[in-house]
Amino acid sequence: MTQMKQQRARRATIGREHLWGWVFTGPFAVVFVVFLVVPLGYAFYMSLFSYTQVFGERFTGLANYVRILGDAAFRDGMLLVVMYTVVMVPLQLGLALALALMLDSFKKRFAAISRIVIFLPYAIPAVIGALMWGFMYSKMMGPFTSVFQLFGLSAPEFLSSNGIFGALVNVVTWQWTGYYMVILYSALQSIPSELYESARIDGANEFRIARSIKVPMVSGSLIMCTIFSLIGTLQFFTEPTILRNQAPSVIPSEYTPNMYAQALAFGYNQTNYSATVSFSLGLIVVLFSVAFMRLTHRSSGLGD
Amino acid sequence: MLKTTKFLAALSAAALSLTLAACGGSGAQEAGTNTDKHANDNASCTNKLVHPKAQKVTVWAWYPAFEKIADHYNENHTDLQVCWNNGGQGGAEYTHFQNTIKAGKGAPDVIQLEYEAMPQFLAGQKKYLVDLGKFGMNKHKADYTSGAWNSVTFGGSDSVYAVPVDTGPFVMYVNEDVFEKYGLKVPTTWDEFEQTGRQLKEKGYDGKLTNWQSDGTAVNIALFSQKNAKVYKYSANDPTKVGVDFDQKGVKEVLSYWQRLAKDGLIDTADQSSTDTMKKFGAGQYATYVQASWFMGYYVKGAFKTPESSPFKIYAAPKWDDATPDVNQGGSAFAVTYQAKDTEASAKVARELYGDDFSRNSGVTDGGLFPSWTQTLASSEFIGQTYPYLRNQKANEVIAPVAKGWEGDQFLPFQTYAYDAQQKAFTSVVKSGKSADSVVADLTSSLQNYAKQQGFSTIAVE
Repeated sequence: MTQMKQQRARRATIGREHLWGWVFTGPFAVVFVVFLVVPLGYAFYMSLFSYTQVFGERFTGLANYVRILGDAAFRDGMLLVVMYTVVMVPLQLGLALALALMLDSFKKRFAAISRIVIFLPYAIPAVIGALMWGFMYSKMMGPFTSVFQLFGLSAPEFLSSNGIFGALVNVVTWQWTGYYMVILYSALQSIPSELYESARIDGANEFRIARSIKVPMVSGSLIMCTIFSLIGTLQFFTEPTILRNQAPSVIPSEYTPNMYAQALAFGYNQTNYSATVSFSLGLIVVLFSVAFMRLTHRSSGLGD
Repeated sequence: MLKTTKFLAALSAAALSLTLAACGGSGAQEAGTNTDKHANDNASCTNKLVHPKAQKVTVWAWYPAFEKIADHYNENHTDLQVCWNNGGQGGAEYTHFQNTIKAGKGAPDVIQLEYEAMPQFLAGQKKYLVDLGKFGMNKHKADYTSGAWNSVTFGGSDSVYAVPVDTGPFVMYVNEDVFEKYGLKVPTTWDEFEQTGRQLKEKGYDGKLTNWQSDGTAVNIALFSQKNAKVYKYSANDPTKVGVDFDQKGVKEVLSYWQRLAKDGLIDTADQSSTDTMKKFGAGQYATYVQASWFMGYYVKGAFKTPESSPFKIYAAPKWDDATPDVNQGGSAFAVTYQAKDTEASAKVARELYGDDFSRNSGVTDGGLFPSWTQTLASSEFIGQTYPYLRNQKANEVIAPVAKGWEGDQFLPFQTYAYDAQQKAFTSVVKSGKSADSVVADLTSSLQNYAKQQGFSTIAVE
């Protein structure tokens, strides 16, 4: 008899705890469902239809996904952003880590001001940053022409088919390195100083401390930054879209998969196929991120 | 499991009903007419109405200084008032209009469209532009140049889908300073044009003969038209059929010509939309520029601070031989949409907006439009007009004959896509030196495949 009472009381407590759990997660759940799950579902639903000018909108099942498998524009765009990822992610994070380690070592001299200066590009909106670089790359107006002239050289053609890759890598690296640096720098701050002291007693120099203590200790943050950078680069959009105004023949409308989705929806009136491109891109990004997290499972702090 | 089955059943039912709905007509369904005089009573307008209680007709237009035209109309009409908004310029407006078609509401009664953008709204199962032939538009055929008229009739017998406003006669801008300095004669044929380029180079001119725009769209169509090479075909009578063919002798000759000029370093191949091109133009880096007449309003005025500092004058575009036709690049018209609340009133407004002397003069002088109106083209006032940015040249003496000689061009219902594909292909020929033969063949087949994928059947262009 008493046992049953106790059980009932326990169940009631659990019920109450459940209720509070729902109350706390409710607002997030609503936002999550309304702004993520529903649009995703809708995009997928749309991708099951096809719009053609002659027949209008028709249900075509997975035909759009079959089409995308053989779509050279999507494939080339995807390969290009993968190339950007391979170049840009290590470059940004390598620079960010080097800068963070330097700032951490030279704490007193100009540390605060350097931190702000390096972080500043991130505070400039991406569109304005890209516009600014667009002008800097200009041969007639940009500063590079005169700078190179000082040495008797002619400035490289940034906005040409050979120069555009490097030009875009530069804009993005300029903008994001500071942001990753700040994250890594703050991770470095949380390393207890006793570790450094005992390392010094063991005879480690600063370089050794950086390599064997600092880098391993911030590897969690480093991996998190890599995932941010990976996702951002695969969804490359803003900078090439802005520079396209300056050089449309160098940056075609389907330069990256995201730009392709935009061109399809707003230029070519193919909303359904655009949804297919977006959905496929999303899927690929998720796959990349999951694969990367799996690979770095132990040290990421994002697993479990 | 049960849930999934139910969901799938619902989905396929929905799909079926959509398919059935889509099977309503076999293409060519004309836009209907409406007669609601009060549906626009609460429409919001950018311009201030003179008679706010009168019936309103909504208009989207991006013509420069259009508010003057709307005000003039409203001052002179008590029964109808033009309610004007800028729905975006060019492509932005077409996307906006396309969205209102999807939504089934929100389109204006009257809309400004470029000639090349109209097939998009006339193709397929339903026409979204009203046939103005029903409202007596054919009576006014003689008011417009034949090129403009053909551009809004699409080969339709008595159908007229818009009221022409402006055109873009293809001419050549010549930098007189450069030609004087090097003592050269202005070329009249493409052969002479090439020779001029070689002479300029030999004499040490630090600029280029001209710029072949790697982002050019309609300008290439104009260049091909000079060779009588029509690359696109589309007729409103047969709206499910399109013709695309770049694999023509004329196209290949034109592309190879520019390829040779680029290879020999006679011309620049910069994107017209880049700020550098504009700077070079203003800095005397181009001896000529072969473009539509509207280039003056958009470029020449922007490149020079004062009218006196512009060294440019307009000449006839170079020709291949005596049989080379007059050609055109761009231009636009007013169409009435299928969503027009009062279709007849909208048709009246579309025709009358630029219908009298005041509005036409304002269009020419304030808006910088090159008129499609035969009466204006024939007036001595228009022909005698001098242009400060062209060394006070009576430029219309050169431009008007081109406007009158043009016979019209045809475009595709998916012109935006075609232009993007075209741009990539031509750049690879002129800029990267690929063989024109293989590029035009690939471009033709890729656009034909796209047409089929969009449900069109393809026909020959001639």
